[in-house]
Amino acid sequence: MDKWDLELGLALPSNSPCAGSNDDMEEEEVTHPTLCLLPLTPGHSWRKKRHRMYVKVKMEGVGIARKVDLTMHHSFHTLNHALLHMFGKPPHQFSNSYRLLFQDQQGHWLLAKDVPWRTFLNSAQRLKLLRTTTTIVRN
Amino acid sequence: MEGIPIGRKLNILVHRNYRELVKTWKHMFNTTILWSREMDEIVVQPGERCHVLTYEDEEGDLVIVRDVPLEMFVSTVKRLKITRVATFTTS
Repeated sequence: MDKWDLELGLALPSNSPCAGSNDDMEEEEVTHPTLCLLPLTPGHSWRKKRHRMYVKVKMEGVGIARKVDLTMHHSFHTLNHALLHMFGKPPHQFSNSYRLLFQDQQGHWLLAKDVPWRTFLNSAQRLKLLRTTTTIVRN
Repeated sequence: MEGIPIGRKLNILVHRNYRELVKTWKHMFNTTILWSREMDEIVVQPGERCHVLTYEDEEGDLVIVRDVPLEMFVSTVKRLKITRVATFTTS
């Protein structure tokens, strides 16, 4: 069989909200997935669409939560930077005044900086930003 | 809408993208809808009536609209709420 082995795959059109970026509200459209033939590229047996991982983020004192795609980040540094902009906080205030917590699959809230980035990425179900002055009381 | 006691019903499935949804909202409620992803870009003039679009998710939390693709939003939204910008600021 020649190098263009073909396989049936499920692919979303490029203008689908799940396939593209989320920056411009004009680009997103709700479309139905269509079956199409996907040519195999050398060294790849499957063409995978990009996996996204949206988690909810709440900040203490703020009444509205946000959602962040963790796959868009590769370190706590870029994630903290993004969260800072999301909640409209200046850099110095954010890093000194808030600590990032995450809830793992068992429902436990943990301090994000205690674990490596990859562990955090695989475990985090939701995020919370607590003021450093807030005392966490264990039940 | 926050501050207005009477609710409205909106069919979100007829909208193909967020732009159309925002347009309908603006028409229904006659207010300025702020759409900036980063809240620090928002500048609200004193006395200006403006709101942000939020929705209640399956856990009962109020979440900003548009952080996720429209398709994901449609599958998780339970109730829509147009919230005053002041609600977003730190108490």
